[in-house]
Amino acid sequence: MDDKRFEELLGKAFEIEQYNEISKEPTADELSKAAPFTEKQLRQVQSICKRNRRLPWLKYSGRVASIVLCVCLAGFCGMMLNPKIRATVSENIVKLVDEYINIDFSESTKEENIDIAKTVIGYIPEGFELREDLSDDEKLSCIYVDGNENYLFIDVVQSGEVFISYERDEHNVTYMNINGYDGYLSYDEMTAQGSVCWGNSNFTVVISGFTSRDELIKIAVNIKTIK
Amino acid sequence: MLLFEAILSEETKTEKAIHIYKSYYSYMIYIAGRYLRDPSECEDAAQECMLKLLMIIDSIDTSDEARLKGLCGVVTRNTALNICKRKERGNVSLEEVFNVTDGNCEPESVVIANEGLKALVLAIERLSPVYRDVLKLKYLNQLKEREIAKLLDLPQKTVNQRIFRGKMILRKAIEEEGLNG
Repeated sequence: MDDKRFEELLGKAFEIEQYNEISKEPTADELSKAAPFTEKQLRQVQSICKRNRRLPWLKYSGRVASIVLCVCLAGFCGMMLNPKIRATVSENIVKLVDEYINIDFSESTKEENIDIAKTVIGYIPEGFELREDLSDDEKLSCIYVDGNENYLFIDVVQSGEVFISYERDEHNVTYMNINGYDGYLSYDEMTAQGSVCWGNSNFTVVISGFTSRDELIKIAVNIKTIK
Repeated sequence: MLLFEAILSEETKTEKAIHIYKSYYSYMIYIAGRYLRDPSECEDAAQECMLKLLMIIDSIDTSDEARLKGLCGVVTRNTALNICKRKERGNVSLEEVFNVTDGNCEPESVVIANEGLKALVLAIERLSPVYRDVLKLKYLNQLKEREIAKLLDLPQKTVNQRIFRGKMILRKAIEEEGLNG
């Protein structure tokens, strides 16, 4: 007997077997007396249908979303194989990170104030001499000049606004931590002049003048408060 | 338009489901009662059965009452047995449970002209319900293997295997009767 004939016969045989089985079982009336279908059952089936109700496109939305995601990911990976694209993406990521995430691995910024009276300038480059001292109770302001009439200004003021608003040439700025405070060094190699500025919301220290970058930093780290 | 069609189709499905549950709820409880003692468990089995039927509601033909009853019977029986297994009532195998409860394999008084068909009906009645159920769902209810697997909580591979083995047993049985061909 070939498969097709056998399967046809199977279908018919199962129909007969089903009628035989039904004939052995209690009638619908007998059954409904034993376990009647009530309002409770109707609510049950309605709630089952409600729970299982899903719009056709929602059924597959999860799968479609995963496929789209995989395709996008594969496309992105493929694009990243190109060195130029890779470099551009990397550059943009660095830019974004620099713009929005400021990670400072140095000592955390202190929020305390500075005592002007106890603040001393510990180092002045060779050749510079004090020309003018405009210091008072609220500020420390000194002007130094060397033999070539190169000026060096050192100012310590009890205001954070100066630090925030102090003008800087963003192209030559190097942000750094100075004496435990946020600060920056701005230096122009062409004119050999620059400034170092640091502080917090309570005070600002600004050193500017015609001297080397290293000397500016050395002056900065040597401005200390005597305890 | 698509939304309207979807809503309409959902409403038809709900109507179909209500019709099935209304017509066969008592029968489901009766079948489940063969395996489960607690009436609330029988209700659970009927509900679970309805949930399974909802998964393949599009493939269910409600025009033939006998086939529909057979489908409800098979799914409820398997659901009730699964509940039994879940609650670990006795360490008997599925075949043993079937043999204990389904001992009524006597041929009925249906007059069958075709000798081959008669032998096949006899063989089906003697066949273990493990194979009979999957074959019934496939050949009586015209369901796909994937749908049968969903209804009986079985892997599709197992369903395929059972169909293959069941057919082999039946073929062998009618061959032994000398009715091959």
